[in-house]
Amino acid sequence: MAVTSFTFLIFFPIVVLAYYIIPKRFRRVWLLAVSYYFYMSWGIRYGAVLLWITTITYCGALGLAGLDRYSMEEKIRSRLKKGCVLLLAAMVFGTLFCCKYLIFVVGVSFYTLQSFGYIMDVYRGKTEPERNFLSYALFLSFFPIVVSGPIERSTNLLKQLRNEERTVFCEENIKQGLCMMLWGYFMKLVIAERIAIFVNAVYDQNLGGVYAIVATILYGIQIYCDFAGYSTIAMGAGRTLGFAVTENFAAPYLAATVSGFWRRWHMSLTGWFRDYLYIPLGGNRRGRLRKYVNIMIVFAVSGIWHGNGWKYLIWGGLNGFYQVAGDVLMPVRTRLLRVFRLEKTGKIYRLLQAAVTFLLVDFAWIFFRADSANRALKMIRGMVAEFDLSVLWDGSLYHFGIGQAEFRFLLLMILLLAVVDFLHYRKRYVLTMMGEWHWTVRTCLCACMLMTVIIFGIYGVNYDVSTFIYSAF
Amino acid sequence: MKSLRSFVSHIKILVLFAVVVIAVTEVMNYLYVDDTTEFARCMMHEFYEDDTNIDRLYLGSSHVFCDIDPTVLDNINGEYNFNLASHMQQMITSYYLLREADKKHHISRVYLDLFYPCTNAGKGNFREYDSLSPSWAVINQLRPSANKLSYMLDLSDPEYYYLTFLPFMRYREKLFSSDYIAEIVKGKQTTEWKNYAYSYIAPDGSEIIKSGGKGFRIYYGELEYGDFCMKYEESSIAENPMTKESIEYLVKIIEYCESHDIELTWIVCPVPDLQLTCVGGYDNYVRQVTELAEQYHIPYYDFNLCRREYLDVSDGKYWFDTGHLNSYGAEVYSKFLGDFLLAQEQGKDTYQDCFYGSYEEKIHDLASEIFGLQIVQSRDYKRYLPDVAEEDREEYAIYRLRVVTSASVNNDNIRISVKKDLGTGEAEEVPVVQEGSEAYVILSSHEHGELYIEAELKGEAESVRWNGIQY
Repeated sequence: MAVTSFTFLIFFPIVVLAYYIIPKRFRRVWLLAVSYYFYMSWGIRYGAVLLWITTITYCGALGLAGLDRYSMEEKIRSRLKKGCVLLLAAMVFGTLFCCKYLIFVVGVSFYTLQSFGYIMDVYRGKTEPERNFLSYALFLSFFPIVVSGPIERSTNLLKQLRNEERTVFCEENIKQGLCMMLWGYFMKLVIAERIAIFVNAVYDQNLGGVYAIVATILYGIQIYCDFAGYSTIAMGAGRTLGFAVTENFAAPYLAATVSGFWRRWHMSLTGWFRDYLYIPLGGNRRGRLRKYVNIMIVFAVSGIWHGNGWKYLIWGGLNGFYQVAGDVLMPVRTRLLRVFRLEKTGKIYRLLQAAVTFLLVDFAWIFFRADSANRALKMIRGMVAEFDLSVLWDGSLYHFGIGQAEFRFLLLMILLLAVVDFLHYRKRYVLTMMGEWHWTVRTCLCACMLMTVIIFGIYGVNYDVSTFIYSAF
Repeated sequence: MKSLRSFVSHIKILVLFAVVVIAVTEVMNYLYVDDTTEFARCMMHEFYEDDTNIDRLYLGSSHVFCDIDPTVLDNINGEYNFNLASHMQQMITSYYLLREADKKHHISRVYLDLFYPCTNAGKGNFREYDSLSPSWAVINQLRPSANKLSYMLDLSDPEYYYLTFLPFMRYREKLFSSDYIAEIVKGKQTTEWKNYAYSYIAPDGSEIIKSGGKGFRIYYGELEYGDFCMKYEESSIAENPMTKESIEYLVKIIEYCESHDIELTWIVCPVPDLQLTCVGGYDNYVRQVTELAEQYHIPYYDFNLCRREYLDVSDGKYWFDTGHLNSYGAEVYSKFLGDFLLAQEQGKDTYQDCFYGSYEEKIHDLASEIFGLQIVQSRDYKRYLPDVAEEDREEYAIYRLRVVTSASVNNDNIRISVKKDLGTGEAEEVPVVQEGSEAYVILSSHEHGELYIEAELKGEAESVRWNGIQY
């Protein structure tokens, strides 16, 4: 059951309505039941994998905490705990490997990381092990996040799930949650799906030159709207039910550097890698070279996490390389600034930085989008070899499923997205701003937004709405 | 006090929200929904505006709104007749239109036409996406009511609700077409559209189709003998061809009529014999309807089985096209229908005299007659061009010809000849391969023009010609 499906549009209101009608003590049980129902609608056997991961990490965390209760030498305790974590890591990541590369199980990449993060938090003493199995099972299976994240932390969602007061009906939560969901649907159905028509046509036909360049630029926006759209829907759905789901995106394309981009893109995954891989590897505390090696390791692992082809490894490697190169070339960049008399805080320089960052990240997306690394290289060669600017004005761009008027509309919608992102970047949230507006303006805006999604969204009969890109990881 | 204020403010928000959504929807419907030539719009307008009580209601497909003139029937039965038929009306539509009419009127009799394509596979599977259009055309014109809502919810699977509830969504491929919007808006600015009075005017200025009032549509023009030509192929009607969806609503109509003291009669308006013979298996349909009629004790009259001595509309002068009667044909048929139904009501059992037991019986009883021609382009290269290499096949266009006749015609006596117009005022003979009443010709796929086809019956004085067949 994709969140863009008609079934979800029936499922969700029923879940919310029943959730607030039934007595408080049954609400989490209800959420757990509907979460498993939602997840198993993707495949009944998937439920078994989720239950397995839930059970082993639940017991593992209790076991880890149990070791503290026995009197033993601290060194032995530490070794036992490490051994326990390693054993759990082998089981969790072994499951991830089997269910990702041998038989594909939707969402497994997300909840395995989430469950292992919980183990690490218990190991480090950052969180108490959850004794209520139902609460913990809900933490891993919560339906808005189970398929494509965000990857939650025990310090956030699990803590909220423990607190029964979170489940109290709050009108503001409903309003804000629904608005967030609407914005998420706008990003996915109006922008991402429309761009997908063009991008798929160009990539499927292996076109080069300006076609490929435009498609690649648009793909950068597509994958953002697709994934951030899903995350916003998840946040909205969580908020409607009274839970604050972790924010996953914060205007990433306005970042000044590639490392800044990664602090704003898929933040829950980046944060996970930082806390449970980069820092344990030594982070930046063991000298420059080791820091660069650690960055490359993290991004290589991130690439492998996305998929098992060379293309993902190259994509991850490129993103790691950008950051290493950025750090190494820092003195050169500072000197260039002086030569061109540009101020680091100046708007032009800032704009230039954002543009360069976007281009670098977007270039790496070619490997992510292409069917294989070879196809990506061919595409890049084609961009140069068949470069012909005239296609921008001779109308041939409009022969790939999106006509001229629709293209203009798409650019307008991207502009709207950019404005909202810019406000987000400046820590001005539209949702908060809306709260200050007159109720008539607010209501009209929401109604118009809903109609925009309904009218201009790509969904339904005769339209092949693709599943969210990240539900394949 | 505080809670009352909060309640009022919530209501205000909801109302404003609904107003904006409805306003946008209405604007979009105006810009995109193409009902500029939709007859159901006229028909429903006539229905809603008519305050006279409807005594007899006629439901069914386009054959009903073309063939049955309520005014002729008024004069025969002395009651108020109304034609609530719509294009390709499926059983679900008939059911909800019956309920809609019965809300406002005291209906005593309902005549439901059972044109076979509306109940069989295809349009009879009215919940399938491809079959929803005829129902949507009617739904668009129904006034808001619980009956309409129920119809909308019943019509399709939930995944198509957005198309049912938001009509403009059906035109999404035109979303960014300013030319289309301009055309629709222009169409809706005309006085005909505003006055619900459509007519189709031929290039020479003559009126071809116009509304005849009370849901009746008048078609002018007639066919020549050589106009009876079918350019498509339907698969033969199988045994028990009615879909379960059609039967479900047929039974609902029966139950509704029973519970509301309405006398229900099933009829089938006549179509040219060319159509029924081309399709084949029509008796399978007759058999199933007869069984259902006997099971539920419903009178059933299929006028395709009517003897020519009583109702003869075989001549082209009765037809507007190869499916619908013209104004003259409608007058003749309506008069016969009215008299026949009245006779039945008066207890005169004229059925056995007027009707054949089956369509097969009728075809065998008719004198030798050519009903028309069926011409279909075939892609069966293996059969017709076995020696041509696969890569060269696209160079050829194969046309299958079938002279459709009554059963008494000996197929060996038919001679088919084909000429193609050279565009110079002259015609060139095309080689024909003939087997009995069937033949085929092979032409170049690159050339297009007109064919002149002639069928001659040995021993018959007159031959039949079909001119200007496009290829």
